[in-house]
Amino acid sequence: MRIAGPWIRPRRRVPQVMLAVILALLPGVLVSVALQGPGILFQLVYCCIGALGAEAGILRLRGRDLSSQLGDYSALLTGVLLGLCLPPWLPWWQALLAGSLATAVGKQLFGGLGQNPFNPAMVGYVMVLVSLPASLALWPADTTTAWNLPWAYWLGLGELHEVDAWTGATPLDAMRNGLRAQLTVTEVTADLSTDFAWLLAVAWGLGGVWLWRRGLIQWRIPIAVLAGVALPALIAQAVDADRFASAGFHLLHGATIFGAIFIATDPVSASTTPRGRLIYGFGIGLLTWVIRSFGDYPDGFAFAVMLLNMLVPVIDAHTVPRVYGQEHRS
Amino acid sequence: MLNAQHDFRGGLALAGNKLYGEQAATCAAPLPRHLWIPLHQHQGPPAVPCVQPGQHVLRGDLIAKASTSASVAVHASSSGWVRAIESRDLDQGRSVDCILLETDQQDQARDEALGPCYTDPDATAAETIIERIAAAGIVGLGGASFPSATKLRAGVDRPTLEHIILNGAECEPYISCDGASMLEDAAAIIRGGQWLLAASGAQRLSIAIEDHHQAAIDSVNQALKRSADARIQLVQVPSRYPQGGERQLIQSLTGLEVPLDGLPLDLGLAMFNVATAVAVKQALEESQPLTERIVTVTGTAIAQPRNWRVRLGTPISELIAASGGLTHPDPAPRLLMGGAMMGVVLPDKDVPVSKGFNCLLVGPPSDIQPAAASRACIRCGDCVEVCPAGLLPQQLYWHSQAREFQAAAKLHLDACIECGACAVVCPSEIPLVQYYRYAKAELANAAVERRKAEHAKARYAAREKRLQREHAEREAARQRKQAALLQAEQTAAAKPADATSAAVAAALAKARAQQAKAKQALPPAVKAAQERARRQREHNSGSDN
Repeated sequence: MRIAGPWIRPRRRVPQVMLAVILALLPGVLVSVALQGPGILFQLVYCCIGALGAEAGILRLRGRDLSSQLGDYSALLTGVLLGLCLPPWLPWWQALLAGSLATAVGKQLFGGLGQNPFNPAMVGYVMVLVSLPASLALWPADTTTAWNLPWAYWLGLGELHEVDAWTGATPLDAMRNGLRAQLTVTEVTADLSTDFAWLLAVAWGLGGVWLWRRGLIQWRIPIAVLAGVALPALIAQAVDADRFASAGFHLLHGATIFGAIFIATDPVSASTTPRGRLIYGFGIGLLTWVIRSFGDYPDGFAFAVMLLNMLVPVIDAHTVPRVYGQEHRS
Repeated sequence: MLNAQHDFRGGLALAGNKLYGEQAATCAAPLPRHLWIPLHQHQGPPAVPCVQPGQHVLRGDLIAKASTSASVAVHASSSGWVRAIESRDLDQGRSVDCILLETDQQDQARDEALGPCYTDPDATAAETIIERIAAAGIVGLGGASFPSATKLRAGVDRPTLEHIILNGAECEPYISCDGASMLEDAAAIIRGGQWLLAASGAQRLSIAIEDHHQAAIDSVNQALKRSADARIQLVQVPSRYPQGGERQLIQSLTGLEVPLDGLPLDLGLAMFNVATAVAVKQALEESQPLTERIVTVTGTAIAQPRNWRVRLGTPISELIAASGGLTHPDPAPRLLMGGAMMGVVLPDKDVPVSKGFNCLLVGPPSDIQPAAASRACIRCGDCVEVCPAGLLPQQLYWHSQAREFQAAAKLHLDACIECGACAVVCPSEIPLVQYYRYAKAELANAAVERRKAEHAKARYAAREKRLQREHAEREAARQRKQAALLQAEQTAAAKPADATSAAVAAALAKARAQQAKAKQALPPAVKAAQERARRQREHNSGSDN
């Protein structure tokens, strides 16, 4: 029984929040399909089936009401976000597995919506990445190849032949391998095939700006993530431009823009205080750059997010805002 | 006219919903046959009735005296007979004694009910003004019902009171009673403000009105021009909820924050609602106590929403009837006192209007509706953005829900003003304010329990001390006695010639021998009982330490 106000309907409810984020992903999805072929769409479908299936299964085990909990679209959003992270040519069963791990392990094992300390999509992604590292290199070599794959493969009926000829290194891979082979940054970037990364960045950015305008995400986390990537990159570039990729390269490639807007802003696993969100975002950006520049993985975004997820309780405890009427801390 | 130079934190834009009431002039609500005038319509202890059933009273007569300095007097709202003192359910499960007045429909007012009428604030002593405000039973009419004289008296103790703010920032959706005051009683508001200045010794008076309320701004501005009082200024403040909250409005006007556990007085400020100023003017210049107030009757279920001048004690059923009844038959419509943000549920239509009753909001469940089931918190942080107190509402909620009240207290739950901004933006529709009230109540209970425990501990320590002292005294007496006996025996042994002492010694020896014999002769059960009793005694004296 509700005895206290307010007696006004909220501006939006959880399902609307989740759907709005899915809607904001559309421009990026379209550009991804144009650049990397229809594979992305199949990954989206498999991931969503996995995510929703696992969520429903565990809710059933927990004796919860299926319709209201599945109807909040949070599992669907997890599936969509994960599908956009996975390589377009990943075998169907791996996408299904990643999707189900994301909601089962990443969310429901912790008690469901709002209780998970880690970003569920990143949990699914990292589990597959660590278990099946070779799979995550299955990116099409170029746009032409991307559309050439037989449809049977997507439906799990065909094999992927001539993998070496068809899959190519992502720009981040190329950069890491090139630098390790003592090439300079300039030489590596010269070798990269025509690069439409900026188009994708613009598409994600459009969705992000729309979300921000509608008050669905706040500026702090995305801006802090971008700053966290760009600042160390700028400094390193100034120190040694041959051995460190430029800030622009880091911002445009890999998961930077997409992650800053859609992954790091996952409210459940992010910091909840205004100042904390700046620290959280900057930490993700910084760690991403560190892993890319010195680590063994080409893109460190997922690890950076999960590591900062772990730090959230500490960050929140130390960034409690000053309340009205409280003495300013000297 | 000025614009506010500062701003408060957080807050949110709400749709006005003040489409009603202000179009029509405020009329007097019909005088009902019966008035239930509550004895407790203010912060502080209830008033004490000073009339007998059967007694005839006129409007303005004192019917209940202030019981303490923190209590407030109650007056007859119309002429008629006192019939009984009955209990009535008010808001939030409070049951309050009311004086049942059967009106004679003559509505005769007592002339100069409070004594002589005054005309010149500057020629009247501050204490006289404050006493009159107290005698008139005036409380804050914005809803908090804090005794106005008490506010001014506290100011007299602190000669630093220099700035009075009249609050006309009516930020709650649906409520427009202050707006009606500003449109129709602007001159009285200014006059009341001058009386408040004279009572407090303050040198400045600001009247704050939200900038979307152009009609009220114009009305007050014209009255202000006519008064030509340089001490008074009109300040426009942004229309943003909860602008009308005392602490928020102070921040908007001055840029200062009232200390966490302090009062506006600490900043040399006092705030009064605009309608309170009107009541002050009536008390001083017309010698009329507070017996009516403007009430907004509104909501989608009300056929003709409007503002009424209502006699205190009028049951809300009368107001609903006067406003054309309900738009569609509903056996149990949702009745709220207050606005759509902070309104509280009323138990039934018998609730009488009291001094703090600013708005009756009636809506079908579809319009003013409790949330269905709330979902889990997704920590979106929207509540953090809108909290005017700069709190972390979601963390307070997590702690309250987990019964970690001390953790919530550490995050300054006490700074929460229960404005509901967090709850209205919550996409999970969690009744956050309800959780905070629950946590606050639990914390208050815990504080009471702690005090009780400390008290009991002190009592126990005192008792322990006393027992020890008594034990020590008994022990000392026993030893003195033993020493005396020993002395006696020794002297007896040393002086056999002394017949008396010899006799005494002999008698003592005989007595001892007899005692020993008796002890041996006792049955074993009695011996055991004696032994048990002895052990019990030892045990008791042992636990005293």
